[in-house]
Amino acid sequence: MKNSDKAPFFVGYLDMPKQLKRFYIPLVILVGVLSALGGMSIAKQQQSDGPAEWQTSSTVTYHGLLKMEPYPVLHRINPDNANETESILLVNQGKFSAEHYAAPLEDQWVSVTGYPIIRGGWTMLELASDQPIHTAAKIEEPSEFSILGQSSSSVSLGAVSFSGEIADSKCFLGVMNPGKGTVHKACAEVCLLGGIPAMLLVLGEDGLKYGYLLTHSDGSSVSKELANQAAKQVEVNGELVKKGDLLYLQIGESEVL
Amino acid sequence: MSHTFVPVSWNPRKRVYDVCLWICIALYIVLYVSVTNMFFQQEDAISTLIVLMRAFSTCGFIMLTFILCIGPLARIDQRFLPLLYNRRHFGVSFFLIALIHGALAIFWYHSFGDINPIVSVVTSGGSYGGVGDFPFQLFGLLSLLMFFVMAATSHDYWNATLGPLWKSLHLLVYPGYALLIIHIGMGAMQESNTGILPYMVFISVTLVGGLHLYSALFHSRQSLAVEQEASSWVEVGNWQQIENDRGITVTVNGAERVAIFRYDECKLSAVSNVCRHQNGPLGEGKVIDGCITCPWHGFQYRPEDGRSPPPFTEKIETFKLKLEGNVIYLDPKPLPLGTPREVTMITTTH
Ligand code: HEM
Ligand code: FES
Repeated sequence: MKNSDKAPFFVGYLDMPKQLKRFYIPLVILVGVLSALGGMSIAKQQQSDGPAEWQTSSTVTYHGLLKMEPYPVLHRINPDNANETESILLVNQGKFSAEHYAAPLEDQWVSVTGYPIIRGGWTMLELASDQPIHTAAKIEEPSEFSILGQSSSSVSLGAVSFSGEIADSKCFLGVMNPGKGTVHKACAEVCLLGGIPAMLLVLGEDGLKYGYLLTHSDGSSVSKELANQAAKQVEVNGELVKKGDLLYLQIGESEVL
Repeated sequence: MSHTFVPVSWNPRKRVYDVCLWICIALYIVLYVSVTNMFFQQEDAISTLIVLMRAFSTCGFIMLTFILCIGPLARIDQRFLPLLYNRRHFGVSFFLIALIHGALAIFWYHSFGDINPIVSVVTSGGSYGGVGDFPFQLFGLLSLLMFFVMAATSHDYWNATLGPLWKSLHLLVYPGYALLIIHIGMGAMQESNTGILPYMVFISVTLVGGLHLYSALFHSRQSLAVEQEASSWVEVGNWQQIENDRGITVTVNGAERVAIFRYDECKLSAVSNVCRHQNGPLGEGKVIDGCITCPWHGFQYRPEDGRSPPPFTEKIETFKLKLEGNVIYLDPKPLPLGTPREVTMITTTH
């Protein structure tokens, strides 16, 4: 019977009956242990989207040729191997393009200061807040200028068809982990609206992920137009173009837009 | 105002409750973050804010699951009633934890851009048709707003001011929970690496649904159903079925409303079954120090007149009883709040 005198009756402002204390002490300990175990096991089940890095502890300064392709890119000679060139995407702080700083200095030899964002073979630089880009006083090796000018000229690799996810390059390349997918969609949208280079993430047959920067067929930025497609799996046709060591997919107006 | 406002005040039991609760919350979050930092390092480190967002969100979801289980548990086994006693602190704590999660998400994912973060939460939709492209944040935001309304009105002042509306308002917890399931199911669970989340949601829904179903089927409030015939008095049954200092609940013509108590061995009193505080089931209470005591938060009423002992001023409806032999008869017409009536004495022997 329920309303029985044998059942202890608890009144909040009176002392708890002994019987109830004997019930609650082990129960509270059990719940405490379960909270600890729950936190640990749910945490352990996460998965990293790395390896990727955003080195925010100190800035680096790179020298090279600044291009708008249409996204700001610094082409430079690999400091460890003078026979190689490197193409470094530039972005601003927050969820904004570096265009504002870069466009006036297009085609000039510059020094750029910022925080490296590194994933696989990709390097991106998030501009430092204060005077991030300067024209270099003088070009130390004029030959470098012409090497970089040549290597960064655009080469068509023909028509291709890819399917993959539309992402914002900044978060994906290392600012956030994870920096893509459904949970990240809203953020990618804000980034693309801010002009961060749009990227198509394609899973290759070798199981590796490949990134292609997306542009209009005339080579202009397509980020804002793709914002509401962020995190979506899409199929795109276009022309593959190489500039420096970056690959661009120039997509037709009928594609995804 | 429907009646005077008497807050259930602080006391040591509530403090113990809150301390236990916050120790569990702290254990969960600290261990979540430490284990993540231990397993995911350097190039594989998951962004700190995302880790916090996940720690607080899963903590909140588990808390809400507990909160929703307390009601049916207390119904199934009265030993769980003390959990119900301070459930509102549990509720407000849950809201704070969920708020931190929502705020972190808005800060991290929706800020630092050209658009207002809140606008971004609402518009970063995508299509409702597409899985993986579903505006799951909006569902989180809506449920957070519902929990906000509940947390903000959780104080006894609002309970007293809003009257029956309060109860309906706080039933929003169920739609809020449903919105959260959509929030998680169409958001984090759409990722390829969902980890343990689907299990967490499955266990939660099974527990909440199962306990509600079980308590509804097997532990509905025990009450004696009687029909009122033409005559005004209805037969309730033998007084010996009521234990001393305890009550039974009587349903007259389907509406549950009368609690009949036996106290001092030989006295009988019928009062409304509905506590003035938060509609607690008085019939499941007990007579303590000569007063009918509500099982939920311990409000007290004198059996003689349905009034709280001074300095309190709550009043409940009283009912007339009469005895014929061992059989109790009830006049189901309620007397005005706090009306004294003759105490029914049991004169027959056991
Ligand atoms: C303003 C309101 C909210 C927003 C903007 C929001 C946003 C988000 C986001 C972006 C995620 C994905 C996190 C990630 O894994 O990276 C998420 C996951 C989640 N949210 Fe919310 N949320 C809101 C409200 C809530 C509320 C009120 C709860 C209730 C506790 C909640 C519970 C969860 C849970 C359990 C997850 C899954 C966590 C995980 O990924 O491990 N959310 N939410
Ligand atoms: S004391 Fe809170 S409902 Fe009765």
